[in-house]
Amino acid sequence: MFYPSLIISFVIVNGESPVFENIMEKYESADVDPYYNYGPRAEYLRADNEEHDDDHVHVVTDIRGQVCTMTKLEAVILLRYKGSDKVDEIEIQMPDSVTSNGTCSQQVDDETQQNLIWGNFSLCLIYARNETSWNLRRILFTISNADQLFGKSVRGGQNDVVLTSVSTTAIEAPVGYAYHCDSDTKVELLSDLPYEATLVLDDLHIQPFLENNAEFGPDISCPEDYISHRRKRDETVPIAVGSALAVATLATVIGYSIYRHFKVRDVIYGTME
Amino acid sequence: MYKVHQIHENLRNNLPPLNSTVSSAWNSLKSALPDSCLAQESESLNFAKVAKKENYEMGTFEKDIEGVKRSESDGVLSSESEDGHMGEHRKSKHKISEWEAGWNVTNAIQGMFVVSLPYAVLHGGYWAIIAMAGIAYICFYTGQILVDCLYEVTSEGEVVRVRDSYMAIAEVCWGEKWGGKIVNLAQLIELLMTCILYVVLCGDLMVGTFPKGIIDQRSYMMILGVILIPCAFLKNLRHVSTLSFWCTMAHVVINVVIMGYCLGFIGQWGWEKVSLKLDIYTFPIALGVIVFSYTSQIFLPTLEGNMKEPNRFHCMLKYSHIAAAVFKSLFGYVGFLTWQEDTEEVITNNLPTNFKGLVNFVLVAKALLSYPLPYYAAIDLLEKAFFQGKPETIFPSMWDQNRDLKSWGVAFRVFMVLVTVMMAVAIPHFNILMGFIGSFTGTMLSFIWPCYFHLKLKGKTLHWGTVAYDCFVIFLGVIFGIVGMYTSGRALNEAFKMGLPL
Repeated sequence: MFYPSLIISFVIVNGESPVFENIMEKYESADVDPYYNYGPRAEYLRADNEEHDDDHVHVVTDIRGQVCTMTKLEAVILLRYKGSDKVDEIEIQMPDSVTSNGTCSQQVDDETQQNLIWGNFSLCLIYARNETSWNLRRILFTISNADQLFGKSVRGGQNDVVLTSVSTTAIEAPVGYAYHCDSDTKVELLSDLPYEATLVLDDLHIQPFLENNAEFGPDISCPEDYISHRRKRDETVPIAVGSALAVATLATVIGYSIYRHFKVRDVIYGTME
Repeated sequence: MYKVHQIHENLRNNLPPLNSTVSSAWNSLKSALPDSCLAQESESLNFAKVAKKENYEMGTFEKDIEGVKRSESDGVLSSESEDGHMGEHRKSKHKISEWEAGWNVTNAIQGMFVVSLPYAVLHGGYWAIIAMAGIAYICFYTGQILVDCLYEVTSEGEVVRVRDSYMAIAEVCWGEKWGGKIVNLAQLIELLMTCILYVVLCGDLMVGTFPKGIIDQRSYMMILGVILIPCAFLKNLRHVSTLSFWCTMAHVVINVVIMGYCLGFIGQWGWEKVSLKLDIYTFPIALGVIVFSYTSQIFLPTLEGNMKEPNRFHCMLKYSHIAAAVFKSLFGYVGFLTWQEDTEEVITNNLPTNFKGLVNFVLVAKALLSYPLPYYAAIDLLEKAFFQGKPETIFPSMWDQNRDLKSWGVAFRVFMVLVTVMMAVAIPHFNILMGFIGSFTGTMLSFIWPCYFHLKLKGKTLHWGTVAYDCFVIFLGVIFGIVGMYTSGRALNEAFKMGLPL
């Protein structure tokens, strides 16, 4: 069931059917290994990507040049050696300009990914969707050509160190909506090698499965932001109510003064006889 | 068959008839009850309302029917003496009956904290229930001795009211300069904080009922502030008593509704869950809730002074405290039995949603109806201290000759309502702050000072048992104060460490 629907989706998206069939077979039959470096696979479906410099939004476009994923974030990876007594931490900061590529799909129950690559590092965001909503299912962080980390050789002779998130992240929104979080979001990354990391995402504004326009949809805020955004957005209600209270106070005092003025006048004129 | 008939005949002849038994039992019961509260209205006695300094020196303690003589000798027209000018009927028109005084006391001692009583039983077990009855008795006792301090026995052996307020008692015991000011300040703080607490609680309840609405807590408090502005027009204690009556009715509704709901689960009550052990760490929490719900001493001198028949004051105080103890113990016990370990800090959170909304609304109504009493008492305090006209006080009186409020008087009173609402909106973590400050002022006003003044003024004439009991109550007050301040101080510290709430 999955295979034909994938073909159809790529026909719709890409407009060309026969060329991609073999590639689809390859994609379909490859084992999805969580620790496998997803980087090269993306090449099959990679289209030309340009870096959109406005506000450092990283995009993924499909073959036709239509933007399907937009990501804006600041990422810092805090890499640690597992089981070490010392608190050894390497801080890896993602720069503003990175290479962005990935895959696109509009099919329900499909996954897309976005790779953000700089130097030897690659941050891969894997998005999944169902009929109504999408979520950031997994994050992979890859250090390529890593000979030595923390003063020790990378074990097993592997050149690539891959760290992956352990569970589905809480980053999700309905399809057509963007996820926006100004507060810090932390994701724990683990590896079969003795390394672990904390990924700190800041100023996150992401939306995959975009359809026609290269624009963010309406925002869904993270809970931490909700309170502070509420404060910025909903000050109108306290101000309105406060004004009503002030008006009521003034009305009471002025009304009573007028009442007393007329009452005293009546008493004075009444007793003047 | 014949034997049964014989036995029946024997019984009928030997036992007294049923109706005469019942009536004699009823008569003996009636004679056991004190009848002063149920007796007919006796002659109205107007005791001296304001004892000025000159009176002490003159040494005349007169039972004034009209108060005209005394006010003329003072040369200062205070509001009370204006009443006297108007004649006795005008004065007694504003006096309250013992029932009205009772509603006010009930308003003060059966307050909003009733919803936390099952939580107190959760932490205190049977000791909490015992505490509810015991503290009620102690507060009744301190209220009684406080009002006793207002009276002196003259050389002729008559008992006459020579002082009219808590402040006056303090002035006699601690000196003119600072005594009155200290007590006034403590009273004012306690009263204003009670007012602010009611506003905060209303805001909390409304937000709890509509958590996803656009109106936030601060806005609810300001909306309720608009509803409270008419409190500025309260002229006398009778108006306040009417509002306190409706407050008591709302309280009865809440009790009946929640207890009725709990009775529906009577089959699942956890009778064995009420603990007999005393847990040192959790019991102070229970104690705090119980102790500070019984504090009505600030109002008592004023209430007693405004009663048509002050001789019924003690009776009224006794029965209102008994009623409070019974209601509270029953409510706390039944509430805990229904939810046992799941009992929430505020029992309404245990109720299903729709029901909770209804109960919350009644609680908001109750809080709004409870607000006028401390507000009126605070305004009265400020008036007596600052607004009696020169040369005694800085400002002129707020009242004109016809006992109507002047415009700036209304403006001042409305301003005070605004102050309480603004402080409710602006101060974060008010509940805990009140617990902290209230542990100090509350224990002073309700436990320590009444006993101290009683000992100071009447120590020589008291039985040694009474003296010992007074000392014991002072000691208890100190313990409650220290424990209360410690737990609130710690909670306040924790709350501010987490950052100011938004």
